[in-house]
Amino acid sequence: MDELDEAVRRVVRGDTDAFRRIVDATSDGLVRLGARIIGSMSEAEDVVQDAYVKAYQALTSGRFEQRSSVTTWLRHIVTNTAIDALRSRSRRPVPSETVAESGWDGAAGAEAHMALAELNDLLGMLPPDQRAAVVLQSVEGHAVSEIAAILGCSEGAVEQRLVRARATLRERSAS
Amino acid sequence: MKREVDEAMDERLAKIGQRTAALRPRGGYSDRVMRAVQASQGVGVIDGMLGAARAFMPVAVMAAALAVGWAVRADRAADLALASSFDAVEMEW
Repeated sequence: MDELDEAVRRVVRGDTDAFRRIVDATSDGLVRLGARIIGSMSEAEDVVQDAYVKAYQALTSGRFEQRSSVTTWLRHIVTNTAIDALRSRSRRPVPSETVAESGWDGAAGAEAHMALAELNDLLGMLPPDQRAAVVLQSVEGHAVSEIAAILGCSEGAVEQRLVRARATLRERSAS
Repeated sequence: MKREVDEAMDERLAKIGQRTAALRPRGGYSDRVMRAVQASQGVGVIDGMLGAARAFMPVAVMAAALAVGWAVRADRAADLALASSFDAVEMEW
């Protein structure tokens, strides 16, 4: 984490190349988070790229106040960008990305993409904010307090989203 | 019953979490992000210039109005000077 903080300090001082260190250190986890929320790796790459651009602009304009860790702050930006992307496509459902058309390599990658498609089908009917809360808790394993920091809301609001999401998922599994 | 269904769902989601742990962005992703970041810097400069131009607009409008006023006054002064020079010529005759 110290290395990330140092990279952030250098970016703030105008060293653009230091931002690459932040991208290299965090992109795997952030793209995975984005993919789990959105249900598509290629869309997640776009969403996370947008999030990095927003983060860079925030750093260079002094809008990162370091109230949370760099990683939590980046997860916050990625999650919000992914929720916005889901909302913008809410009226045109996107089919699950198939392994054949995805172009990702390796057997582990193929299995991971099948699991991603399963997750997308499972959470597809949830509103974007509830979907993000479920992914952060049940798939990524974050505590409610961490989810509240990532989503930028109170712990009560997180609990409410999770309760509603569980009710919807229960109804679906019963039907 | 409700709790069992929730636990089964949590278990299923946790397994999906393990199965999706191998997900990685495609090769060259960092390069792609850095290109987007550098492109956004150019856009940022243009946005900054447009913002400065917008802020400067009221001052530019005032300066233009003053310039028009000054031009009208100068034109009148030139007319008067010309008229008096015609008179001077006529007096000489």
